[in-house]
Amino acid sequence: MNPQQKITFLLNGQVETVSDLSPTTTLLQYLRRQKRLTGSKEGCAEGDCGACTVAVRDAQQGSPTLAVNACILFLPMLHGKSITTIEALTNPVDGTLHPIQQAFVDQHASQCGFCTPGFVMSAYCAAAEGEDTDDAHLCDVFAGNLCRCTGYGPILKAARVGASNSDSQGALTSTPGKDIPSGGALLDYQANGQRWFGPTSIEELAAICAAHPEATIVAGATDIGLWITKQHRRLETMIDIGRVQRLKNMEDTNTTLIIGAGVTYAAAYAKLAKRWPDFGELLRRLGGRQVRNTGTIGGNIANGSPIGDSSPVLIALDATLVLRHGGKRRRLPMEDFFCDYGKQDRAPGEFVETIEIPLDTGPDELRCYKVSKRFDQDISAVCGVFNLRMENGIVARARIAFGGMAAIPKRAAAVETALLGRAWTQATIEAALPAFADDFTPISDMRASADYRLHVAQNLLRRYFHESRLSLKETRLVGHGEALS
Amino acid sequence: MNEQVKPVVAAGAEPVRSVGEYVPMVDGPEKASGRAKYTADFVGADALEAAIYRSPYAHARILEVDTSEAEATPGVRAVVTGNDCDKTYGVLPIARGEYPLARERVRYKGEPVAAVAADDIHIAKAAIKKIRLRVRELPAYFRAKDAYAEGAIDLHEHRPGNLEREVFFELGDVEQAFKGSDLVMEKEFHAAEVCQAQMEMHGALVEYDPIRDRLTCRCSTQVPYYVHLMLAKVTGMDQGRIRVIKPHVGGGFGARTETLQPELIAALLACKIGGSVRLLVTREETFITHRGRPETDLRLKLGMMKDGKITGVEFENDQRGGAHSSYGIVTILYAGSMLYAIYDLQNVKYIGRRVLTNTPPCGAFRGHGTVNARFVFEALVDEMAGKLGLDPIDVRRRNYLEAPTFTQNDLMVNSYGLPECIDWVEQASGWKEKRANGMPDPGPGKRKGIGFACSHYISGASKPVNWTGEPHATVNLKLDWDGAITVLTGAAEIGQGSSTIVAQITGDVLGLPLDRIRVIAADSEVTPKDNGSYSSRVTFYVGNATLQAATSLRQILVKAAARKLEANPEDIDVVGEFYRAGSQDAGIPYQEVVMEALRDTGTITTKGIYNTIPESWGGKKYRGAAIGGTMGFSYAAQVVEVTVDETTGEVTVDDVWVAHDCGKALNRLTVEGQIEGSVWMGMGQALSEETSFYNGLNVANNFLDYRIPTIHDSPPIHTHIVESIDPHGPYGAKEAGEGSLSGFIPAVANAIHAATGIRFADTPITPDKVFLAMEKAARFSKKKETV
Repeated sequence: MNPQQKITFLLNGQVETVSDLSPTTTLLQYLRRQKRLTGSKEGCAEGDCGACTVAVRDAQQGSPTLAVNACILFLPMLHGKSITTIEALTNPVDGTLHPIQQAFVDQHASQCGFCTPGFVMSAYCAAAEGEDTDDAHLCDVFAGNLCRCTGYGPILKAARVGASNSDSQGALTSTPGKDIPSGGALLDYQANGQRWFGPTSIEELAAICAAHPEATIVAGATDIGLWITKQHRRLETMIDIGRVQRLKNMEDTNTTLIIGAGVTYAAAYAKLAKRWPDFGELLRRLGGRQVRNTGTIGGNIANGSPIGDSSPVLIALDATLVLRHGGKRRRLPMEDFFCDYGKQDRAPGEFVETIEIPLDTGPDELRCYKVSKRFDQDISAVCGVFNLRMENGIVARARIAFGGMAAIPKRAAAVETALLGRAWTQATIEAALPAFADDFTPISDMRASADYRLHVAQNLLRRYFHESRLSLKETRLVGHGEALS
Repeated sequence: MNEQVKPVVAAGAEPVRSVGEYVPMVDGPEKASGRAKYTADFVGADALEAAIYRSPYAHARILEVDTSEAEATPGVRAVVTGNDCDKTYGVLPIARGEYPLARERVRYKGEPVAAVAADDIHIAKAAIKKIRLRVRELPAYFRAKDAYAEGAIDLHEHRPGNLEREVFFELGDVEQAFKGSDLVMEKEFHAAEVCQAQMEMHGALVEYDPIRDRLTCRCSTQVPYYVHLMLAKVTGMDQGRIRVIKPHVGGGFGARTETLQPELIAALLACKIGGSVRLLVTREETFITHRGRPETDLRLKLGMMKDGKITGVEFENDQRGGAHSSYGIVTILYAGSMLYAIYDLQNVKYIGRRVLTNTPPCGAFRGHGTVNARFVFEALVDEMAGKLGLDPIDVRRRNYLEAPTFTQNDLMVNSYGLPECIDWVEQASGWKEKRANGMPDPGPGKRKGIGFACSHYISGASKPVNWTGEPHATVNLKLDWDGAITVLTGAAEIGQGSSTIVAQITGDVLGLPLDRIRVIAADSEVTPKDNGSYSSRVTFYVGNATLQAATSLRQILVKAAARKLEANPEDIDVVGEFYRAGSQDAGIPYQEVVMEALRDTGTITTKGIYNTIPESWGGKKYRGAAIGGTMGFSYAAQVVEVTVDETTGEVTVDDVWVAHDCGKALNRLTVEGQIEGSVWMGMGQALSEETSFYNGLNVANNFLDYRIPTIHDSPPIHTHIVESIDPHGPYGAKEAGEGSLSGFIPAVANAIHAATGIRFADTPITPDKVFLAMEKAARFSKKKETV
């Protein structure tokens, strides 16, 4: 098949074709400038506020309607997808508002109104997926939307009423219109002197990466989007892993969970949360929902950010990265991938193919703690992950990893040594605490002081000790009184 | 929607009343459907796009701004620098020292130095990078105490010692009062700088028509009239040639209560090219434009009798004002004057310093001037109540005002619902029960606490910033053959619901449904002048003007109906869309009355005005004593319940109970929205928000690092409205949108104390501060044990 040279997608039921815009044109720029659809707002252009939220769906039957941030999504990433914006929710002929929109009016969930289209679209996506409408779940739905007027209370009410009325009025069928045009084979899009590859097979991806070692690999763009909108960088060649179906698979052998590098947080959530409830809780607090719908675990790792929350968990779980260059693969323990601040052990032309997590850690053995100034949408001051095993009251295994304590996500080797082979007692814990200072020399920054980081890290071990004597259910309370279920 | 003439209503129908009900906002459908147009949504095909070059220096003398390379860039149409405008602007007539683009000196990192208009935004941004700024750097001051320290150089020649304003007053005899007190306590506090962080970024679309010499400006503002004045001042144009249109505005909270740089710079560029310029700034630039609440160092000394009666107050505070005046003089005066009017105080000494520093200018932020002062006052009262073994709520009860009254500093108080507010939150929160029997066990490693505080705010400044002798508010109503009523008001709808309130009042007086009424707000070519949406003035002042205009229109319609029905006007019943002469009369429909009223006269316009009364203008006992004067004060009380995590120091707000006295609630739905929004915004300042600087660079310049609370962090807020009908408010209404903010901060600090035994005197109360203080307290108590 010949490569496709144009970007094609459905916008509010109409086929759109793009052939001359820079591949780093964001969906929001396209909507507002090209299409004059100004209902989706720009509140930050960095994926924090959610005012630009739109609904995106894949061509495949049964694929979910996902809320995403249009401000940091590049047009080629939408090739072969269907997009619904706030404008399409209102009946264009008689002006009838969608039940969710009407509920936002009736419940006074919209004051200045600037964030409203984004909230409505988040509520719409959740309702379209038939999600729960209890407060705790709605907080997850709206975790990526900020409002400065209401205090959010009326928004919770509006979402609940709106979902219920949508249901009874059958207002959640997807936008009528043409079928989503097939994305077809490789997308090789060139415009504005820039080039974007959207391969569909893993072999294609490997060949393109090897042939273009200078290219930027895009795996969700929740960070790379900001290189464009905030840093105004120009990227010449980009390779998107988002269309490679193989990289979206999660495979469960008896001993290993294999996660494709293109699996989004949202897609990974159910499986990871089922296996390790605490991993799930951490994912719930990672970014906002829109970020989790596009951001990938592979991207979070390969990007090498010292502040990613998934890396310490994967290190504690003893995960292995499979890196690929052309036909060659190499395996690398997660903890060895991070060399120094902003530096990873990834060669030009090489890409992360899968992440392999051994399944020898029980659900109760893994505990994750994220400490930040906000519940979600925040970078951890400290992210501590404990994976310990007791045998006859003796610490038989200790893998402890921290984020926020060093320039890279890092194991607490000295603490582990201080615990291994010792009795699981308060005395052992207290004796191990000074080892934190051998493992970490945290810095003071705007998120927290060095002193606070070190003390909290120590306290998290104490807390882990106390909690290890209780079941997860008794020790986890999240949101407003919603117990883990 | 197609508005058709309503069917004839049968005799006996009821007039439509919406005042006092739960009424969704009249512009809600536009907002929820995405059709509401904000400044950035006018995607004008012929407008050039502009970008600003900003100073990378905190303080420097400008030697040269070299724009030659930028000007030579293909696609660049105009470049402006400080050389293009030597006129200053500013919101206070006595403090207009700011240039749209810096001249001679730059005074903070991010101050606009030059701007480019180009064919598209990419060209404009690329051209900005080619501008070269040559300077000689000067010492920069990032803290108030450094800026007014001996030997510091002056940021502005006309403000020696970098003092924007020093305020001192003493009323009564404070020393004597302390001497006679049973308990005197003195404490220092610190409040971090915070900002409005409204969701819409700043922007302006300005069109200059060189043929007719006319300028049209659309911008995100709360004060179209002030923008109008300043556009005339900096462009040098006749003010009659300028038109200011306020589109939908995505939140204000005070950030937009003065003219901002984008509209002025866009105007300079538009005039230079003789065309249209769109200048939209980024989120980062919106944070740098700032105009937030200043970082404040505070010291408070209170005297109290054993029964809780407050005897004397000595309050001192230094505000880091930033590089330009903005509202600074007013802010520092409010902080002193608004100590009054909530409790009965008779001996008060106030010392305030507003200091100029090399940081972005602070301005007016929701609760203007009162918030940090209220924090420290309510926190110290709580502490002293504890020392005296009194219930903090009872201490407040010992200090009530009795309305009507004038305070010691001559503020007029006619209605006072604070007692009812306090009674409600005490009851609803289970305050007594929880304090007597303790809180439910929050589980291992957690502690719970409950805290209380009060607050108040003005209903509009009685003397406007620009004192011209015109009425405070003017509203026009227009009625024509179509039966539709158009309200023309300059009041800026910014999401607070002002257009809904004027529609409701009009409809209520005429007994008509809201869809008969259209509101055109804030277009200087069409609507009467209005001072703008700030100081919670609109419902009170514009509401009263609307009431008058609508009453006058009703009289015209009643007279017309009387003519038609051959009856006396005083016998006419207005029953919604139906007029009749007595209950037995068959009557005539509204449309017929309208046509009778229009006969001979044609289109009808009526006008309503409102003026404050001299008694409300504040006093003359000290310089600046007029600040604080208002037609009515709102009151609020709140109880906050928290859980503190001992392991991490994280504070979770579990519940808030708030009661707010807004006089008559004209719209219960929007009043509740305003109260909850205020409480929630107070929570941000109390627990997580901070405008922080690194060597003068604003580093919390995005929504990740400037942490407004997310939905997960936001507690249920139980709201109660108290209606102490004010004799001057429209229907008795007063302020609703600011007064509940400041009370949250001390209430949560008091709650954290109840949970941990520690008094936090420094906002935001972040997990690291809580944690380290708890560790210290634990070490201290261990030491005590071993001794």
